[in-house]
Amino acid sequence: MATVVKSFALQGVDAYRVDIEAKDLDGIPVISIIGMGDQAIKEAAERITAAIDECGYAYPKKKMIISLAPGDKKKSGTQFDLPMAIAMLQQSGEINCKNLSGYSFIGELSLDGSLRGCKGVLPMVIAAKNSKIESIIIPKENLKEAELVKGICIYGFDSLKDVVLFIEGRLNYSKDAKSKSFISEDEVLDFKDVVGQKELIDAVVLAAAGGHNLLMLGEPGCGKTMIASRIPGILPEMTEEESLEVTKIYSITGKINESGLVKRRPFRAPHHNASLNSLIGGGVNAMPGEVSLAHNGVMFLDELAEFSKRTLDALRQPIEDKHVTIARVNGNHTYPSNFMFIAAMNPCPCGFYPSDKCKCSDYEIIKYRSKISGPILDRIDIQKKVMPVSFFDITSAETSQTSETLRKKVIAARNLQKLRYSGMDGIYCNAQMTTDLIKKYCVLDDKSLELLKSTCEKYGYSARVVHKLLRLARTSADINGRETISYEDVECALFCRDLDKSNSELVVIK
Amino acid sequence: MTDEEVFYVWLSQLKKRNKIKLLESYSTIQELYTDTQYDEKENDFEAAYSIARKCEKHDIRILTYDTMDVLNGINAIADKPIVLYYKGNIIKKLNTAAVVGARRCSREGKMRTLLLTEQLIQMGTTVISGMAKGIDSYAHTKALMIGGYTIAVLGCGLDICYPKEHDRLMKRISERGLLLSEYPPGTPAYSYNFPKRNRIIAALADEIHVVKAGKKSGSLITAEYGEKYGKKVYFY
Repeated sequence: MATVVKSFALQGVDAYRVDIEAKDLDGIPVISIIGMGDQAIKEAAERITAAIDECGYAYPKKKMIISLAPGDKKKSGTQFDLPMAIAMLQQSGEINCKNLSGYSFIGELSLDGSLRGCKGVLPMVIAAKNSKIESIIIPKENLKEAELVKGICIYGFDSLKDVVLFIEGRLNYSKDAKSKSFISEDEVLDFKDVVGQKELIDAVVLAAAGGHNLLMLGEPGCGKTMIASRIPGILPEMTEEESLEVTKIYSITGKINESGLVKRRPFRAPHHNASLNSLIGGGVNAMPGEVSLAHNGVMFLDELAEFSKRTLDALRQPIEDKHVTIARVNGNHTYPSNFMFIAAMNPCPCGFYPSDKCKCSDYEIIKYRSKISGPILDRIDIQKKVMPVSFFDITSAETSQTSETLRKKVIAARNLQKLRYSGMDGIYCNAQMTTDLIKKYCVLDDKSLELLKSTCEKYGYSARVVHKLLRLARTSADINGRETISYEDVECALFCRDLDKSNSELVVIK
Repeated sequence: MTDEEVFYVWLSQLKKRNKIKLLESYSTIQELYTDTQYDEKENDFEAAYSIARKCEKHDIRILTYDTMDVLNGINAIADKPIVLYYKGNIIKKLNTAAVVGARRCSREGKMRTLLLTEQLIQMGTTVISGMAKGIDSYAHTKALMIGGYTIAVLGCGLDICYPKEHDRLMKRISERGLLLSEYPPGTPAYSYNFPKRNRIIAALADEIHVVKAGKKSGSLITAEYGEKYGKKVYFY
């Protein structure tokens, strides 16, 4: 009779149960693993052999067939080492576990018989819980992340020997007190470190409050990156559910840190030579890319104009749909990608426009700016010029508000929006307002309307830009806790289209 | 393109000195063609035909040595081109002025160019320039923006846009102004051709405005030609 041991395999951000069956037959003593495993699974036979030997068990004297069911799905990873070893030992009679069906196993084996951590433990434990398995045995390394799941017995072990003793009932599991996180929470970047840039910070708050995407234009070294990296700190804290979503993604990419649950909103800043696949997701196993790693957080693209056009245009779908589907040979996976999009670029090829240092011709500038395609620019509501700050001004200028105060503003504005859009499907913030909603919620008085009209005529803004301006004005009013949009709110919104303004001032044939 | 024009194209492509003298010693171009004997003549004529076909494809027309007089002032040039390729509309105006200058210019140079061009256009003057980066492009752009007529003399074929970012400008000039070049379509932007085209700019303009030219600027070549042809030259 064959032995069956339960384990799990990953499919996208989720896991499914894999039954590992072992059967010994008369023949030359070899281990034969079937069930569409990848190279890592094929090599498991060698690791298992060494680990069994190291723990003092005898290698089976028969041919051993190990099958990973379901047999028609491709599987990858090293988490099957431990369950395969257990199945083999049980089948060959080396160990005797009475209640094997009550356990499931995850873990990579080291040649000396110890257990190593592996990727994607969190989704696997969730799958174990969902398939009503009583207990799961995992490497100690992954204990923190696994313990986020409640309602299942989780046991973390260091070595194969301990696992065997435990399931045979010869070892009592004692929770290691030392496994508590000794790493302090990483330092949070605070807006109080930023000096000057008041206008930009106002724009950042506007962006965070209304779910607007933001583009910063400015000279090299004026603080674009500094400000971008502080944005996650002013967003509301993630809910339990959001945290778990993020942690799952980090778990399958093996990026989880010792503290387990990802509590802080992620901040991702891929370099501009990032390939399309690294940004969107891909690879043989269709792994999540930067857009998914930035889920529920901030994605910052510095030097936006240096990204290849193809890569940028691929961002359109994830930004719009808030999820991305990747199709590969080994599966068709959908990953969430609900992030706040922050970009930065130089205003011209040399970087110094409009100061006198810049010697670029207007045609060169417009060519440089047109590297960013219309559809991408269209998804960015706020375009803000960043003024350079001189070192000598820094010492005298006042520091900005702390992230905590800014966050309070953001949360208040978001709560207002939540209330306003509560009955509506798929609309959570001002940036998502449809034209109908704009008509309903963005009513202007005559004076504000006149201001909006005259400015738009001056710079030749299209109807679409006007809609953006109205959405921004709505957010500004929300931040200030106003029911109706005031003159100041419209002014504030008009300050947010610096790229359009600058473009309209260029002397070029369009 | 007429057969006669093709003969002119053939002559212009001929690697020979004193082509103008040769041309003037015959009464018609056909005679010159039949009288000239050399090995590769058939091939060269075929090449001239292919240039003609390219011209037709890109809507480029030509002015020959004899019909070039429609452009005021062109006769001042000693080594007048045998053919001039053009695209756009030839409009005769009373006054012409060249606005040329630095490719890399300051904001101040740009502002000055815009102001100057505006004044010239308001006086009904044709603004001539070289469609290079910087001052040249501002002169053309401003002229077109306020509905003026402008001529661009290029140093490459009229089917090639150099610099590339001027594609829309070039298209607009061909619609509302005039593009001129002595080089057949397909000629890339060779650096040695650009100083030569400056003599055409200088010859066509009644007065020459040089904005913010550096010591080695090609605009100074235009200014030199201008002085040679007896034009007024202003420096800013």
